[in-house]
Amino acid sequence: MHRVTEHKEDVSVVLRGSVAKFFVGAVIHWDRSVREAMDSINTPGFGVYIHIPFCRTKCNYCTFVIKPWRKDLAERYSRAVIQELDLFLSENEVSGVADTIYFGGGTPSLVPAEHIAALLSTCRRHFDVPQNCEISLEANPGTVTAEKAAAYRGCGITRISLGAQTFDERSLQAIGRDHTAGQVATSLALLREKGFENINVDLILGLPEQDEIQWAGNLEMVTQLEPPHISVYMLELEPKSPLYHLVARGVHRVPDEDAVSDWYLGALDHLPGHGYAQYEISNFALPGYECRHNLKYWQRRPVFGFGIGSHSFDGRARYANLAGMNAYLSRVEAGISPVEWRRVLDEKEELGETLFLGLRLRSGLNWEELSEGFGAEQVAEYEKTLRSMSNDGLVEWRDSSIRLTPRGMLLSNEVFQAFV
Amino acid sequence: MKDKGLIRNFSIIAHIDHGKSTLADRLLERTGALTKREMSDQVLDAMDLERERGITIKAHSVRLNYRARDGRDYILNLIDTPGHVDFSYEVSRSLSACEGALLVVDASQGVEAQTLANTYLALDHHLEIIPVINKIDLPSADVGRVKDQIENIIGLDASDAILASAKEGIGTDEILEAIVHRLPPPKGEYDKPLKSLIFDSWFDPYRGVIILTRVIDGTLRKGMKIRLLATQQSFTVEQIGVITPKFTEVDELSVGEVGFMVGGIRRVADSKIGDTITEEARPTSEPFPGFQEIKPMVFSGLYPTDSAQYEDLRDALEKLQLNDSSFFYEPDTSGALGFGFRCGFLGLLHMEIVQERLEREFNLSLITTAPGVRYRITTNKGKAMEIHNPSKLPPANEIEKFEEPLITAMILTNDEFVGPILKLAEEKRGVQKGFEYVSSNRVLITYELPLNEIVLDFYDRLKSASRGYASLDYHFSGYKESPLVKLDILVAGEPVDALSLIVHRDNAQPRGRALVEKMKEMIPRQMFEVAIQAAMGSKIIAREVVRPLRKNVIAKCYGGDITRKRKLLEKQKEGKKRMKRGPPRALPGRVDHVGTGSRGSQKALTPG
Repeated sequence: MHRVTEHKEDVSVVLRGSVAKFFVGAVIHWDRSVREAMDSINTPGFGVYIHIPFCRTKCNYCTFVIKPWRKDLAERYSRAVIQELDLFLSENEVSGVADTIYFGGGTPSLVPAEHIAALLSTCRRHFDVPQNCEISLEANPGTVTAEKAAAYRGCGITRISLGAQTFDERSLQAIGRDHTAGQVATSLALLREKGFENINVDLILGLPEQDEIQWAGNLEMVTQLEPPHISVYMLELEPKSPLYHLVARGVHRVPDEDAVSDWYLGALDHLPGHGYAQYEISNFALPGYECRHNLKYWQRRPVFGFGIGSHSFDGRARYANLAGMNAYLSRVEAGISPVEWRRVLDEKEELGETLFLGLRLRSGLNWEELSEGFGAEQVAEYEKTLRSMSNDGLVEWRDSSIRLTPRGMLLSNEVFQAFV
Repeated sequence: MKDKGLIRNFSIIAHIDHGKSTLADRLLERTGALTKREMSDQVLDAMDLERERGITIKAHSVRLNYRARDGRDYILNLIDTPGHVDFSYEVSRSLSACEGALLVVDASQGVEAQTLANTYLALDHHLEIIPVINKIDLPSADVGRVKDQIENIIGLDASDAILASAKEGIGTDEILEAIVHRLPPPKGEYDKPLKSLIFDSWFDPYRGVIILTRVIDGTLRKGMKIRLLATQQSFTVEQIGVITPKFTEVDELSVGEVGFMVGGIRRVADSKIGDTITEEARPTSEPFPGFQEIKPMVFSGLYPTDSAQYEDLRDALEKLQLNDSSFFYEPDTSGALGFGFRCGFLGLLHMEIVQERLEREFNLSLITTAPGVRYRITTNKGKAMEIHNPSKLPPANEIEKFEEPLITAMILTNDEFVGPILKLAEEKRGVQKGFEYVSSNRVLITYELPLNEIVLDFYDRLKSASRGYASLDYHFSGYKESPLVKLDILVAGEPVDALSLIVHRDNAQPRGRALVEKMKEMIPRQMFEVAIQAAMGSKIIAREVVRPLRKNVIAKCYGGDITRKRKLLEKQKEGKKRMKRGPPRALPGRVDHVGTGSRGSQKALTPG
């Protein structure tokens, strides 16, 4: 019998006088390691996300707004994000602690480390940033130098996420990454040398030219390198991406749905054997190394985003910044908020999100608590659906707890469609 | 009253792209019917679709005033003919309004099947034919070879064929002189009761139906009370006139003249092509021969992709029929596709034209089912019926006699492609009726083929078998008893009525197998395994399985953009709802028939 621990907290974020009370999805633990980890990370803080949109080259599977690297533009941009932070704090009053900060991209490791340091000190000036704050930065293997690593360490970065994607040169070339497989190990060693211990390695399943042997080699390689955190994403071939058309024209071949599904299930078996527990559909960690920032998204905790196209959730509303560089810069530099739209969620949407985000977690959801939080009537309809999904082997119920099965994880969108 | 001795009525017979429209333009220009400035290129092809496809769908006519070298002023009526096999009845009516025809053959391409079929049709109507060899300015022109073909294939004397280049204006005067001197004048008599042939009609929203007619005997006058013999309906002539190509009113049309008539006729169906106009007070004793009720040959189901468009589709069909009485529609319901219509067409091109006009002019999105033909069935209780919808077929054990329509197909090709073409014709259950070398390397192959084999994929297959170097023409040639069966397609155990087909028993299995394989590609993977079966009665003859969906997952967090995730889920959910309302557009409609590639190939193979 698994112990059910309860976490139900009120986190208050004061936005210019209005107090938003919101419910935070409770967490149930199946695995001891995950449970312990959760205990330590379920602190009532909010997250800060800072978007750095620059890339040296654009990967051909990517459809995101990125900007080609330009020194002068990067400087102007970093100044603007600092201005945006100032502006935000002049307009909003935020209580609570910022216990995670995340530099995402783009390629945050591309900009000079001083920019990162300046942004961080602005955060520290405005927010209550505790000593144990998790401060992550996404880095591309080719961009990490000893100087940068040391500077990151010096300004307080605690966690590095390395976008390795694969250890196979052919696949790297096929997706247009600007680093080599060898640089992943080199970067990792360099980061460790400079004192980073909390490192994530990203892998992508289903890349062009990948086959079973090559994928097995990837898993082998990453477990040998022993980063405390591993992400395994599955390639999403988006019709707008160049890669989609290369595949359609037969220039590249991607492994089929069945193969990718089999390899994913294989990873679910393989990684725990090396001590990595799965805590989310795509995320695996040694005990205590779960990414606390990303957990905030699944647990619907507040995260304030800064920079172009960044998304925020203040506990009641979701909102997003302008995605265009020029529009963003001109607004911020004129002292106007770059928020493009803002939407307060209604209760049904809150419940839907709680379900489709919470079920991504290996720990799943506690139905009793959900029912308490949203009302028995509200959740009854979904319970019926989820009970029938359990007959189809997509979810599993244990008493009043529910989580996805491995099959359900692969088909999670099919499950989640019931909640929108 | 015009002197019939100074009237010449003619049409132009040509294969697609052999220069019919350009030649017509030159004749209009040369006779001053239109100034150069007024000419939009190719005046006769009025409808957008016609111009796009380079074919003439509806017949038109134009009156040319020509002062010949003999100093006399002639009236030349050019009566254009639709150029496609689907409209061969209309071609025959237009030809019978003429005394002669120009046979235009491309100097580098030579005689094609279409030319052949229409020339035979013209000879059947005792038309005088003037061969014109066009495009002689092309470097690849081979006048001698083309003359030989005209003599050997058609059996016409080509020694006095006119050499022309309509594009360059070469030969235009010779052609006009030949029309005057080599074609006979109209024969009819002025004092006989009025007898006038309807060879075209269309609906004009302001004036009602406009009829194009050729007076055989007597005189048609403004204000005259007339009777249409086939429909036995009476009208009063409100307007008559000639097309120059401007519509110009006149008071009367007499023997041999060609013009338009408006008479308060509200429906095109009331002015049937081939019908005879006579005077109510003094009717002719004999109608003009050759009138036929036009019967659709090819049938297909049309369903709106969005069921909310059903009413719109009905209105659009109604409007189209105002102008085209040759296509028919009736409401139909399909378990898989919902409410729609079963429609009948003259042929495949006609079907595509109607479908395209519905989509283009009426902004409808349609699902079309595989085309079929009209079968004759005699039940074992002795009841005879015609069936054009597989879902209306009586159970197999109640069918005593099952007959299918046949066509006679003429295929002209180069001898190097004979092998693959014969193989195709045999595969399509053809019976060879003729095989003839018409020149050293040109072969005319004649086959009797079931029409239902033609409507499936014959054009596409012929095109690939001949690498495009074959032309095809066909005409209906009767019914034949055949061992036919109904082939049903079952998805997840449920028959999909819209996919049912009638096929020859020997073809049932290969066709069934091909169909389920294609369906397998088209049905997206579901959460469960989906079986696709082809069945003959209760017997399953082919089976495929769509394996269950394995993976549908958003992996990445993307900077906390939850809205994006929600939108994606909503989109997927909406897509699924649409699936439930009906299979996607690609799924039922275009399976196992001419497919999207057929438009170009039809144009290349059975052109006008």
